[in-house]
Amino acid sequence: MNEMSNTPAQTIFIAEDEALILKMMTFRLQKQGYTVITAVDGRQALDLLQSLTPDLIITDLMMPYHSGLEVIEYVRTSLSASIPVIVLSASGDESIIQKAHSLGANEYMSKPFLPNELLERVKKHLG
Amino acid sequence: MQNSTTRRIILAVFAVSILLFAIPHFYENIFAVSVPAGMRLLIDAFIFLLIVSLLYTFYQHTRHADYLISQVPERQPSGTQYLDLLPEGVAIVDTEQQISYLNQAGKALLDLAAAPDNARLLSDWTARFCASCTGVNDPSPAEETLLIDSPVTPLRTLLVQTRPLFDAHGKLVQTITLLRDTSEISRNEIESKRVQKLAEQALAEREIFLANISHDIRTPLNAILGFSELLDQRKTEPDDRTYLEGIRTSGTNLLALINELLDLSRIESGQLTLEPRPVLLDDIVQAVAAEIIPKARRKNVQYRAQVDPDVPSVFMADRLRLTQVLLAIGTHAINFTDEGLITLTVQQRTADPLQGTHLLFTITDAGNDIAADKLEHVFDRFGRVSDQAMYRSGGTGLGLNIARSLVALMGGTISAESHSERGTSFCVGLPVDRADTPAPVLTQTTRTMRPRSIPAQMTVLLVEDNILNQKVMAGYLNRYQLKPTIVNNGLEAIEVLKDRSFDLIFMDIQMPIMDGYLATETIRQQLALTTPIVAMTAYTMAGERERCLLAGMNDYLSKPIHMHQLDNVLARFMPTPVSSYEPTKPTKPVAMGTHVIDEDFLNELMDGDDELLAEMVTLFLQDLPTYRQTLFDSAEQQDHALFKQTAHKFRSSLNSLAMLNTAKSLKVLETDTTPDPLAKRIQLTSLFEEINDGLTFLQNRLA
Repeated sequence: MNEMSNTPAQTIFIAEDEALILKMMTFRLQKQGYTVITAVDGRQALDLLQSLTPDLIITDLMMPYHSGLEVIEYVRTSLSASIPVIVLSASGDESIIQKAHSLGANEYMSKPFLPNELLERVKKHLG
Repeated sequence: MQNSTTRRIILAVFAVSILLFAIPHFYENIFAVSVPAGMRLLIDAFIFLLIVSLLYTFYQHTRHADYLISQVPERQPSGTQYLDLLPEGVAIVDTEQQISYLNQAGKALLDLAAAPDNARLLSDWTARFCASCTGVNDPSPAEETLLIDSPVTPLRTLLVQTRPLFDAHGKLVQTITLLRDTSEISRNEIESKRVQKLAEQALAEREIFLANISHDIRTPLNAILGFSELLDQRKTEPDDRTYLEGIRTSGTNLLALINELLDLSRIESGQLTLEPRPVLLDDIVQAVAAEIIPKARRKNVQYRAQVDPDVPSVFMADRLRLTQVLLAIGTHAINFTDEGLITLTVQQRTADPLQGTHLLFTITDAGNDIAADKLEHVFDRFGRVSDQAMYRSGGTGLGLNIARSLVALMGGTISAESHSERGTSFCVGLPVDRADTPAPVLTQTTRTMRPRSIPAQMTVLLVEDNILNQKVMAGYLNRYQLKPTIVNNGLEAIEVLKDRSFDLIFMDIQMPIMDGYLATETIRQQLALTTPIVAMTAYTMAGERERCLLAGMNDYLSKPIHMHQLDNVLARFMPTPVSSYEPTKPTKPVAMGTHVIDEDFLNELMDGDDELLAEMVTLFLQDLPTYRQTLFDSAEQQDHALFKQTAHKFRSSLNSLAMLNTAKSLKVLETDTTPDPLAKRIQLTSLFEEINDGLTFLQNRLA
């Protein structure tokens, strides 16, 4: 991961169906100089990931059409074993979080979260 | 000539001659008496003469018989000649479908000389009949109506009836057909049908005319009664109150007249139907008392109701119509009583338990007794017993006539009886079915909510083309601190609804450009809005309410609309039914909402960036109405899954605007599956109040 740390425009992919959180995250991450690509549901997320390989992926777990778990599974099996994946969830359901980890998620953030917490996690992985 | 006598004489002569011829042999052979030859010759000659004369007589007789037989056909008419005398046509048709016989009347009816084709018409019919006769199982009707055309006579209708004739072996050989001209009967039938149709059409046209008149009278009445109600709410001078009371009484009387005319029209056209439901007798007695007592008080008249203990408290009846009957009689009693007592008694007739329950309602007044000859006209239309009394009372003279029709519809009897010097008794006998189920609680509909429980944020759209009625409704709503957005027709309503959402829509029905039905259908189907719509209509035709509900409206107000009716409608559709809710001040203090927004969290979220905040508030406002609607709807329909799903997502939005506590409250609601939609609605309402406060705070910060 560290080989990308000095690249000025690292790409972050966000899959989130809730418009306000998406807006907030996008805004804050762009302000940090990242390139942000967004998907508003699981289907769009899987579509976009066919043709791009981001440096980091943030995905909500509960989304229409395809859940965040399916997104993680796709990333790990078809895209890359090393792309950091941060999952967001408001459910607090331990079994789902466990499942996300077992599928290969790196970080879990419970909603609501402060943007700075997210920025810290992103920085931790992207340097 | 008597044939039988002749025959007897001949037989007698023949017998005697044989005897005589045998006598000589008799003597000779049996008694061995010798008869002299001369004697024998004499006897033989005598016998010979006898035989000759006998033969001659026989010859003569035979000749006479032949003569008689030859005379028979000429002196007596044949069977077919009889048939020619019949006014009905008779035809005999053989199995080859040839008409082998047709009597005179038949020839005239079929008019074969002028129209030979008619013969085939008859043959075809008998052919069909014959075919059915051979098929035992499926005999075609032996009777049919044929239309006979001919160039000479006008189109005629013939009723043909046919019977089969079978031979000894059971084989069909001929058919005999009776032809009867029914043109006259048919013409009469057609004519009477035409007359009946005309009458029905006239009745229907009158019904429509009355409905339109009623609509056009109700529309200005809505303004008259509405403005007087609004004025009455103000502090007015005593004189003003008298004038207002006058306007209101006149308006109400006019309305009663229109209602009675409509009832009458419906009764005549057979469109008035009863809706029997389980009713509480107490409800009816109280409803009557509530109307009668105020009128009685004004006239120094007492009113008393008495129900026998054995009368069933619940039975099947049309509550409104039974009340109407008793009120018509009660009002009549008040009008004709200057002082004294009016009583309503309810008894049960228990003459025959097999005939079911029979109730007897008796209203006795203390008025001047009505003369017998006038009493029999008391139920007549406009059967005013005393024009002066009617004039004073302002009645229409239709009430008792309608009451009689209603009682007849209920299968009961109504009668009036005058007691000299002791007033008049009206008796209504009514067969009723007992109801096992208790009557639905009716108090709910009469309970009214206090205006102060209506939140000021409630947004109301008023769709009404009549400017005066716009003002009345606006005046009513202003009393609840509600300021409706007013548009003039359905199309304008749709344009407004594309940009803004409302909590409640009041929709007039008859409007130019686009009426209320079409507007509602468009709102429901094209705009896919579930905003409650309350119809306001001056139409009162049967089925009008159903038509409104079918178009997608939620409730129905009949014009003229009374202020108290709005209480119920607003209570039903307002976002909060919390009665302890304090009236909201029109302008909110700027500091409001600080408890909703977690400011530290907000600053963290936005990093002090108002541009982001503005964008997020805009995003939030875009989705807010949908969230709100879905949450209220799913709570109402107890769709827990949808509620949870929507709440979950909405919670994220709330958190994103730092309404952390509100989001927590919603989370509690999210897992709450209590089957009490009302409680949930109350909580949701206060939750959205909070959100509004929070938004106000955010907008103030951005301003």
